[in-house]
Amino acid sequence: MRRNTSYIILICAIIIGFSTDMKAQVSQPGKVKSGSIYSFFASGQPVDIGLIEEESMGIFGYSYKGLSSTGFANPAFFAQSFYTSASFSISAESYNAEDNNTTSTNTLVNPNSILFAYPLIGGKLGVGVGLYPVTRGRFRIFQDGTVQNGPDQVINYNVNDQGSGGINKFEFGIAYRPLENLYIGWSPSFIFVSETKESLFISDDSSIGQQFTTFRTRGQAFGNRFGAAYNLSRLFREGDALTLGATLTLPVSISSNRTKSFDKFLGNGFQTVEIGQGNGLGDGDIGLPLEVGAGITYFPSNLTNFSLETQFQQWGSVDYDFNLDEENILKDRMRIGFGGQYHPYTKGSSKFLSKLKYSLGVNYDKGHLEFDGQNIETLLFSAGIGILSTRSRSTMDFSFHYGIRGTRNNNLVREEIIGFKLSVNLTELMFFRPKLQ
Amino acid sequence: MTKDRNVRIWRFLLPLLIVGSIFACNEEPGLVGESFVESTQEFRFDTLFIDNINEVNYNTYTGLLQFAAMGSYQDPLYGDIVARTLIKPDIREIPAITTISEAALLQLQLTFDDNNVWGDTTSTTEFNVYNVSEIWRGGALLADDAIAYNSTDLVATFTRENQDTVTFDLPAEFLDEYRALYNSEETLKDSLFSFGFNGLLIEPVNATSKLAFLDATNSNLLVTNPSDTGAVAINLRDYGYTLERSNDNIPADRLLIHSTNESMLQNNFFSQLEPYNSSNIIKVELVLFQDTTTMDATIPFGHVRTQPLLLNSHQGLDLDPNYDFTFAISDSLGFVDIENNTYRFNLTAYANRYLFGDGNQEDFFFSILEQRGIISSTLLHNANSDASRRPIMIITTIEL
Repeated sequence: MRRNTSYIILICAIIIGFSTDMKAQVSQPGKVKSGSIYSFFASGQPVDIGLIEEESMGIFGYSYKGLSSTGFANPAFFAQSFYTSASFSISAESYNAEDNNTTSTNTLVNPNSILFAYPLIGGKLGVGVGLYPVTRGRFRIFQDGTVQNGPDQVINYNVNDQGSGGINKFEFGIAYRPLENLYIGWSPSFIFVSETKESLFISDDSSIGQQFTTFRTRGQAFGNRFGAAYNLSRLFREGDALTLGATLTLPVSISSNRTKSFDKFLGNGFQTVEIGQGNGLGDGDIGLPLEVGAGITYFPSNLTNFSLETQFQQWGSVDYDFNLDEENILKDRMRIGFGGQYHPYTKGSSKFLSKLKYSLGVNYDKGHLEFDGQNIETLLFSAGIGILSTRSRSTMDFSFHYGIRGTRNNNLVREEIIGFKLSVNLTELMFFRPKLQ
Repeated sequence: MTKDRNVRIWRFLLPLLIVGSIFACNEEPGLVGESFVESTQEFRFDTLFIDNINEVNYNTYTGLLQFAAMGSYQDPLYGDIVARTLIKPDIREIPAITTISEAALLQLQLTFDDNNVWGDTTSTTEFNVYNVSEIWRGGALLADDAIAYNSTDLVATFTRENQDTVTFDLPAEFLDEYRALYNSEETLKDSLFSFGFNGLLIEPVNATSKLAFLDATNSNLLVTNPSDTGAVAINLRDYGYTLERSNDNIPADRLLIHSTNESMLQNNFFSQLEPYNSSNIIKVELVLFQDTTTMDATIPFGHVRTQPLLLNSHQGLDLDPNYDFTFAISDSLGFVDIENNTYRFNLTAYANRYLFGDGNQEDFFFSILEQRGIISSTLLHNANSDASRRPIMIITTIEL
């Protein structure tokens, strides 16, 4: 028990070390790690909120409750929980991007989510609290340019744009089982925008020099999600089970404010000037779409399970008042995921590889961006393993994913995505004793 | 037992391997996506016509500068110019000569700047030297001061062609006056110099065709006592010049700047910056176009004008604008662009201060930066000129 605790503390220390490193990167212009170039647009790339275990099956978590932890994808699952659980996850993704001219490699290491679930009445009534990103804009874009200022004046310049932040949710969830096998949940949330875009502009005109501009967007709103899950058992054979799950996330319009700031010489030294009005600045709405998700998970036995899930997000109807061009490239998004899981540990073997759980899945995303009729699609293959604690229900899950996003058609960018995700799921350990054994 | 140990080792190593592989990720950001991602910011150049530039008249300090104008010239464009030079040799005793004998020889040695001449450089000019009849002080001398002298009290005459130095004798009357002051045992010789000695005025005879510039710091009074083997040089302690100008022929749709500030420019462009109160202004440049066509067409063959290379800008009026316009150097200088015949002022700091700082919107004054005493003028296009030559302001911003 003691060794197990030390082991988890060590891994947490490594994760915290990552987080510290990331903070330092964000605070130093030019050193921020970057992700998908498509996260440049609007509020960034939407982020999944499923557990790593679910993502490694290529699904979203609407119909699958993690074996040890409770995810936030479907709030109805809070009522299914018997154990107090806490989960923290990080991800590292490498984006090998190419267009018709050149290539680049960007790496993004990010904390994903912190989730906490607590059963008030085991299997009947439960609550949860979570902090997680909804969208994430992490990009770094270099551009070179030349402009003609008068017949003999040519100015060469380059621009380094980089962004961080996005939309985040602090969510509370409560779920109840009104009928045998039927679970319903509601998750009100506080949604906040914290987005920073920095632009370093360098020219070869000494009278212009370099300019550093920072755009900050802040906003907040309240949101609501609803979920339902229904369990069936002994459908086709003894020992099998089926879970149907569905969620509805209501659209949200986030009242936001964007400013830009830069340093200027104002007679008595350089001072920071903050501008709160003008083109693309001031007050505006940032929308989050209506989201409908549904899925089905079938457990032929306690050794395997298979899931098929789909998700629809109505991005085409959301506002992005700060840039109407970017609002116009948002379009409705449809995703579908399929995957399965294998649990050899249930056989009780003492071999190491038999003490793990294995996941495999594929996920297709039609994309929420469209450029001149071209969808930015993503096809992602994922695989994962889970390490189970021998003394509690805590787990550590790893997933690996490989995918392709975008295309080189129409001067667009094709990204090859290689990523790892890691989550530490503490169940019962260091928290509360199980309410029901 | 061994199997259990292997399981524990693997369970420990596996996450470390994965975490390590995360650390190993490289970053090679490039220009991918440049063709379809619009940068957060882009250049924008706005060119605004500046149509409210006015000519204003001020004055300039002309004493104790490096040079003092001397001569006259009938410029077809800038008018008839007459410059009278005032000098006072020092009366403080110097070691080389303790007293001046009544039989001493006094000579004035005048050295001229050979780089700057206005008019016919080869012409011969004749000058009269008079006693000044009123008290004057170089430090307070203004270009349009009229210093009284007795035109019937001729002290000396001399002529100059184009030599660097001219030396001529001063008469016994001046020797008597000067040696009385120099040899005086009065303890307050400075008071004697200021209030008891008015010095000499050098005036061109009739209309000469050249305006030259006396290098006052290298001009001297030469004193030769009979007992001495050579002349002793005594510096000029006070000097300066006054200027008269008449009959200029400036076209109606032009702007004129004289280094003597008889004509300079005044403008307030801040109202035109209002649309930029949310912009990141990175450069504000005022461009004034020289009318070189008119200037070249009005100078006789073989004659030259001194050319101002720098214009100066001043914001607001100080207690003594004439002093400020003569001696204060602005943060923003208008450098001449010889290829395009323009003067360009970088006024970015003033624009940003107005928009984002204390809102200072005092008028701007533009003059020729000339602190040495050289006279020069320039002719500029105004708002009624051809559109390609009108005064403009180029505002460069980085826009969202």
